[in-house]
Amino acid sequence: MNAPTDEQLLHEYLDGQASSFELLVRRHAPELQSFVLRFTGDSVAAEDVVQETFLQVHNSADSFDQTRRFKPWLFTIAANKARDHLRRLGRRREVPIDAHVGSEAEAGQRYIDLFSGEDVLPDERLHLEEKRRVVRDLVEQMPTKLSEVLVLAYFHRFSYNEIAEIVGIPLGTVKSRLHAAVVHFGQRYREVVTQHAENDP
Amino acid sequence: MEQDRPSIEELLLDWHLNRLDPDQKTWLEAELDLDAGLRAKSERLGRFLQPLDLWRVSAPQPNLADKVLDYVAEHGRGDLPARETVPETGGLFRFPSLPMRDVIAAAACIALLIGLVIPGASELRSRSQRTACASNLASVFRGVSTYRQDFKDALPFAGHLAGASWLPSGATGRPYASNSRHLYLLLKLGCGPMPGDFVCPGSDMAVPMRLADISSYDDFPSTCNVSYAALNFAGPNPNIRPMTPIVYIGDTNPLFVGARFNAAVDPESTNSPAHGGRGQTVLTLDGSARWTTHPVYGPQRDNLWLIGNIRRYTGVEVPTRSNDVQLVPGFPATDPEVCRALKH
Repeated sequence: MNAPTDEQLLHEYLDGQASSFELLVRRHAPELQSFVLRFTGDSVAAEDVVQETFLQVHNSADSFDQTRRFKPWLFTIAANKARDHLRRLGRRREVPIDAHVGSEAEAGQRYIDLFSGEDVLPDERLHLEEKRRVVRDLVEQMPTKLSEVLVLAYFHRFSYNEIAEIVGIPLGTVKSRLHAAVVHFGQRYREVVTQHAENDP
Repeated sequence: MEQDRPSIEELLLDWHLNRLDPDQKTWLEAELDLDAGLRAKSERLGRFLQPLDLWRVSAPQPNLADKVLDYVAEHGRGDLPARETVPETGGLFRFPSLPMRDVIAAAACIALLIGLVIPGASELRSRSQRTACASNLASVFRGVSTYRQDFKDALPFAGHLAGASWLPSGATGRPYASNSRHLYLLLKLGCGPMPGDFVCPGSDMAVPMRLADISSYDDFPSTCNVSYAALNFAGPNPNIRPMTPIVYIGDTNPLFVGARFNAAVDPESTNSPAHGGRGQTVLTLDGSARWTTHPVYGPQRDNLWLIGNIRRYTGVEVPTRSNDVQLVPGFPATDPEVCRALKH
């Protein structure tokens, strides 16, 4: 027998079947926590956001448009709450995407630029744990607009349409932000590992 | 409309992120085969994306879902009906009704304790075998580097046998050409690795071949002498000068255990049997030997067990893309019982 879909479970829950809500939580809480943790960099905050997200699912279940998919809706709520959390902390820079990447309109051109220049990344000197730390720091320091698209596309494999729905931006903007995020990450990673190689010849 | 068509660079990113539709994927892969400049762009993009694979986040606490459910029950509007509970037992011993989460938590604690105490030695042994495998593969890499210096950067290649099958039990009426004969050149030409470097310490059938026998053969004389699977060099134009550090050798391919293709194995999720199915050690041509717990590997999400998306093998299939890695073992015909006897 096929497992019930998320949408079926939510429908059953609205009909009073509590175990369906429990199944939704057990099915999605771990992935949601990974998403929020990548977004916020704080495991305690991530757990709080996951709790608040499912609380809102419970409270707003009857407003869910049953012609839509559940998972993007769930991640939309979580992304909003994670953004609120970061805003409260004042940690993220809601500034223009940044000096290196420029505006979203320029992102396409910058993305093309990624295909030229030095071919070798001098990162062999970095230990695995150092590389992991560098990658984590670079994505966490990325403007939220870029990191959320990168995390949703690269680590959670959402389609462009779903990312557009979750983040609440047009499809074209999803693509340009993803390109900008890849450029941002690629350039910064190259800078960091080059600097490391120069400091530790 | 013309302006809505994605550029080829945009398609490359979608290809790396595995989000092209099948038609686009086929088209782009054909372009990649034909266009060296495009391949170079793709490989460059892959190098920038590859570090992202290193970013791990800590696993959520095992009781995360229970915490969420408790939180919603406490703060939610309206009732969240009670969760499933374990039914009370009858008879002499009656236990209070326990919420399912408590039972699961208790079971997890017990499993954790058992896991900590009993398999400790086994886990230690397993880790030490992985380390020994990585060390073997590092020796193989040093040998490969020596070979490449002498042969204009080519990987060890013992030649193409037209019409041959690389699977002894595969297509009928074809001669058999073992893939391990290429690897054997490292021993035959004295490039550095020793016979013991080709046997996995985790295998109960592995035994190094005798040093004195090396010059008498053109391939490993027995399955017992070569535990690892290497890049499939079948076909008239194998990729012996790869442009990127692709995987060259690793633990054996679960699709071909016993020199037969096993269609029952799911290549998307099955690890090598060499380390109890927990994962495999693979060597990439940048010299790094890594432990991976999934057969889909690297920034291009290549499946180490498959050529493209081919799911059935008779030994005549050949890789058609320069970065499509399939690891296949050599199959010198030796009865497993003979291997065991040799071992003991």
